[in-house]
Amino acid sequence: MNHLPVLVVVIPVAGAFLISLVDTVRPAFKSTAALLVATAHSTTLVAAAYRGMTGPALLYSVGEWIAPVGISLMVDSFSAFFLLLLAIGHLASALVRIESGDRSEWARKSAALIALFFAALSGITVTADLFNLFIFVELATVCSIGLIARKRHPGSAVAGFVALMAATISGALLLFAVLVLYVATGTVAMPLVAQAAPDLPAHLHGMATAAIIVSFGIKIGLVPMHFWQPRTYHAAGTTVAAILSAFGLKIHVYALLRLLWFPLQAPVVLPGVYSILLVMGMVNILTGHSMAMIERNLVRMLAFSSIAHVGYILLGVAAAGRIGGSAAVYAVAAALFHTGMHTLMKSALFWSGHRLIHLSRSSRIMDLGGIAWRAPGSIIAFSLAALAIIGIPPTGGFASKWFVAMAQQALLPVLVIGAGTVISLVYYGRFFLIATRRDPPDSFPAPHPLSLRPRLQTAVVLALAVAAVMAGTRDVQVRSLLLRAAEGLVDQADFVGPALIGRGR
Amino acid sequence: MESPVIRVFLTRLTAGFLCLLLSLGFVVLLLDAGRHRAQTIPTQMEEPYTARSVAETGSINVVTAILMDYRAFDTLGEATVIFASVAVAAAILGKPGSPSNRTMGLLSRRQLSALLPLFFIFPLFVIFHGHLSPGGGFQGGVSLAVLVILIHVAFGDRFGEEVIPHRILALSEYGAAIGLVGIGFVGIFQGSAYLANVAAGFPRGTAGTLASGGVIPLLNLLVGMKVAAGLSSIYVHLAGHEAENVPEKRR
Amino acid sequence: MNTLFPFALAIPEGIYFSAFLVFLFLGVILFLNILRQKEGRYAFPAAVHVAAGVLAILARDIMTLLVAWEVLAFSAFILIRGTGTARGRRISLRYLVIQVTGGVFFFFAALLHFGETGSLVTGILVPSAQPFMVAAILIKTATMPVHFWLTQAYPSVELSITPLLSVYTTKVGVLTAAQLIWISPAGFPVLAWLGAGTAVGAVILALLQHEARKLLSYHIVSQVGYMVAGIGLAAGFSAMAATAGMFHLVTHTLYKALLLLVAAQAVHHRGHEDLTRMGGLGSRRPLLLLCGIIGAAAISGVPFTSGYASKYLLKEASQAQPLVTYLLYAASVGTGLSFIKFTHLLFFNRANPPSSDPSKTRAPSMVPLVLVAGITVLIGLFPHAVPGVPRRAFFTPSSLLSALLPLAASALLWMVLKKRLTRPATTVGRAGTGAGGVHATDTRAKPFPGKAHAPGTRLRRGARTLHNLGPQAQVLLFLLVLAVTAGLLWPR
Repeated sequence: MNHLPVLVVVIPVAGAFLISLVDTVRPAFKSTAALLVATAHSTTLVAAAYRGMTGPALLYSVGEWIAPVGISLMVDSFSAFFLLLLAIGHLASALVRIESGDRSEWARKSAALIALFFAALSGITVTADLFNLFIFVELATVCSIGLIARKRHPGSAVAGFVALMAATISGALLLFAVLVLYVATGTVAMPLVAQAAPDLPAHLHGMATAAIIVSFGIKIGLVPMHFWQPRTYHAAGTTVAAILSAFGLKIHVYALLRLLWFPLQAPVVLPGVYSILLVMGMVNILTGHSMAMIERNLVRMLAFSSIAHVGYILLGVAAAGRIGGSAAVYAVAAALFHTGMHTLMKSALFWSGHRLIHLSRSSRIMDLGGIAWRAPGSIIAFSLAALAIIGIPPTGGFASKWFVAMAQQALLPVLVIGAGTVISLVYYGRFFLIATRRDPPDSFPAPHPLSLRPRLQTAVVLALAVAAVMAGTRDVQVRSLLLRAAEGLVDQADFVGPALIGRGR
Repeated sequence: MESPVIRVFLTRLTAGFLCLLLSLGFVVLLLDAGRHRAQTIPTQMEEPYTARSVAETGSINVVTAILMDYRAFDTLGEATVIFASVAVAAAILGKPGSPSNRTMGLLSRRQLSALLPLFFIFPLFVIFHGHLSPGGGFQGGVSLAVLVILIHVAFGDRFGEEVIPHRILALSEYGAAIGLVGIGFVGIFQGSAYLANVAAGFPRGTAGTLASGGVIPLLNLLVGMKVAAGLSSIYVHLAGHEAENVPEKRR
Repeated sequence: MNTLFPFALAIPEGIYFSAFLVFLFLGVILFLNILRQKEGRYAFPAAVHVAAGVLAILARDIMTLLVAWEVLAFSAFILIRGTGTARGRRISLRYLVIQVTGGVFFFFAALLHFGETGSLVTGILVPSAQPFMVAAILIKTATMPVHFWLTQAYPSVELSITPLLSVYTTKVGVLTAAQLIWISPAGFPVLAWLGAGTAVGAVILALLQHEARKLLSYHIVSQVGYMVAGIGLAAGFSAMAATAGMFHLVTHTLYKALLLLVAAQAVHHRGHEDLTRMGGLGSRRPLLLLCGIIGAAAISGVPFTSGYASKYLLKEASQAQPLVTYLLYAASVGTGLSFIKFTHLLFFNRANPPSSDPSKTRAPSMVPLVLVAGITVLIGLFPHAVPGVPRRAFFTPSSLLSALLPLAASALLWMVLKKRLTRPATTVGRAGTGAGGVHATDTRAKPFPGKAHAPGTRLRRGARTLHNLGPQAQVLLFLLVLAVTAGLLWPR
């Protein structure tokens, strides 16, 4: 049996414990331990993703207990794509967050919390069990609350509370949906639920779907359930906001898609849900971009931009659900393209913004005038990522928007995408102009003494930004990967088959 | 609407009404779901666990068999959630400082010092007999944590810190956690799957005796340790923390 | 699976080859001109701008063309941003937003075209994509009423940047139109009407201008209107119109660069842009005078100049559409009038003799002017030598007469209107902006002055306040969304 599906969860969990242990016994080696854990986890993730992409779906039964009694894990090409994103995420965030000498309690715990957060995200991605999914969602929530609620930041405790409250409702709704499905079908294993889903009474199915959409809608910031998000990201600070937005959010998108397509069989049983997602996507794009345009704080601006870009992903998803059948593969691939691109672009934006904010000790856009000349590497990475996220050809952001737009069957969503491009140009352009003004204030405040490694950080963000830009011209290779991933979601034959073999046991 | 009292009352009334409505909806749906299942699914599929757990795991407590064997991965996740909660509490509250030296009265302390060793028997029993009788790692661990808290409350935080230093609590939590994850690997090295029990060659034993259920007692012990240490650390963090009442700045 | 960005390139043929040569030639000359001015920070964006312009004409697929559009816009944005002062920021952002809006329309058109044909090779777009493409083209070619980005941005940049900006952006729009557009709604050459209307309207506005580069900017709008008219006529109204439009592109690009270089010299010489306060340069700078006369004659369409040849071809092509022909004649009259004024004020006006010592200008600064002027003259004398220009008798008596009549009308009008046109600018503030308002005082407190009082401030504040919603209200919203979603998904 190939153990990779379970290793991608267990290694970072063990790593988090180890980091805590090292931090208690030999605090000096904490950063090294964190980096080692991240490297080990990323390697495992890449290996699992490679197997998931190239071969048939990897199925794993924890404790050799096959569903319905045990918990099954599964890596198919669809989850492999998200594992790849997580691999980038964990390694990059460990590199960016190598700190020097911060001995506050939060800094001590955050390394372990980040490892646990990525463990939880990996768990969400590989699990094929509804209740197990719920547990990992909760674990991710708890870790993110810890990362958000830093003590040194005023108001972050409140933001943490607001996020906790949102997460509680979200968790309760997910639990309710899982409960309904369990009571109605007698199992929490996704393949078995999927088998029973078409025979469920329509109202039970509909209510479980509604609960799941709202539950994950809160997590990914669907308008009007997004109010907690900018506030939370602002309080969390840029490094954590990047992890939450670029990686955490994407995995919740993954969970939503997986649940809709697989256990709920929504494209067949309940296609109406995709019309709702289509409208929500358009509302998200317009609201997110308009709010970002009038926002005066860089972190909140980027947070609103995330809300908008969830909308693009949803447009692709909605198109896929409405087309149905094998043509849906292209639409899902488009949505995945945008997901991957947004991961690269947004992490690059947040992390390069971190350096700028760090230098000026303020995240208000007005206070960042002329800051570019003190951190040229960061502003270059920021501008490249901004070009990509606006959707300027030939960057990856343009290519992903192009394919999402190609997948639409109506003109209106396409027009919304175009409008979003123009609006986002306004706010990114404005920020660029302010950051590069030649008449900076006479003296910047002295930078915060706790400096992350600026060169390493700049190298990481430049790499991410360049990857986001280059993906556009390498779109053939990217697309073949994405189509393979999308097949994993749309054609579930290789997933359902092996899972059902052991049913009688 | 003019008086704040009335406004608060109305708000609460609305909130209560909404909660009632929501829970009513949930209950109705769950009952519906149960009815559907009763109609469609044959009865022998009804309880997949009860019939087979003793034979397959050696644990006569079905709940423990599910928690520590069939769905041990969930338990690992839950234990990790507790670990994360401890870390979050530490991150938010900061270092435990300024332990209060308030103690209980002399009589209570005398009584407790005589009774405490006896008190320890109960959680240990709950943990070790998890696969035989109701109980298990979580329940026993919580009872253990209560004892640590009792020591702190009765004899003062300073004494508590001396007897069970926070560092020891933390280390035992990390150690138990690493052990928990590590035991899972035994299954992999034995050629079975992660967290495998009997399949990985752990002896099933005679059902109903203490030495049965394969790895289940060990998992119970580790979970118990972890939960006990984790919950005690949360208490230590909370106890050593002055209540803060800093309102959020209006922005 | 085809790549989205094949970057198919080829050296074009026919009249496009001439345009390619002009783009390359002017790009090199003007880039060196910028380097010579020791404007080091402009070197990179200027080089990118030139490269994007050349890429546009080499592109053989729609995506590459779109890439060229966007790169042109962004490099121009950096050039216009200048030193990053408040005014530069505001103008450059407006420029960028309008340009990218054009790019978005192009995106829609390309999407529809690709959706129907599955191909991205350059060619006439499918009918459903045409309206979007026309919208994109109207923005890119600064056709009225969306011309304001050009007349705002071009006069406000450094002196050496304006000629470079004038070469590519609008011309690439014309080029794209010639390659992709074929539209005649209800059988009318609407695009040609728009172009010809712009040619007249912009000339009228140009006559009202007092600042050298602002005036020339309006003439860019007007002259590009000629080209758009030519392209608009190509959709089944005249076989030669597209070629004529492209030929006008070639000639106009050259002489407009020349005129802007002349203006730059003059403005540099005098230190301000107000034409009514210039004059007398003719006797001090004979070479500049010669270049100025050549440029002005070319744009006015004086026989045996390059402008004459291309305008002749255009008017020939528009024979079938008298409305377009008349509008173009009217524009010619206005152009002639405007450039009599321009030349007069710049070189012959004795009211404000130059005070500074003219010997300060060094000879090398005249090299680009002389080169461009030489080529303009050559094209004017031998229009057939330009690759792709159809063999025609350019210099028949009737054609010469038809070119001289509007010029005579201009001269007559000049006699009548001279006083009015050369009256000094009344508003002191405008004259005070001098050589590019970029040096205007910067308001540090506000990055975009005036924005704070824009309408909608309350709306913004309201939206921001809304996003500090308390937990209870958020929970209510969650439940509301749950109720709505559940209601929508409830089986019917």
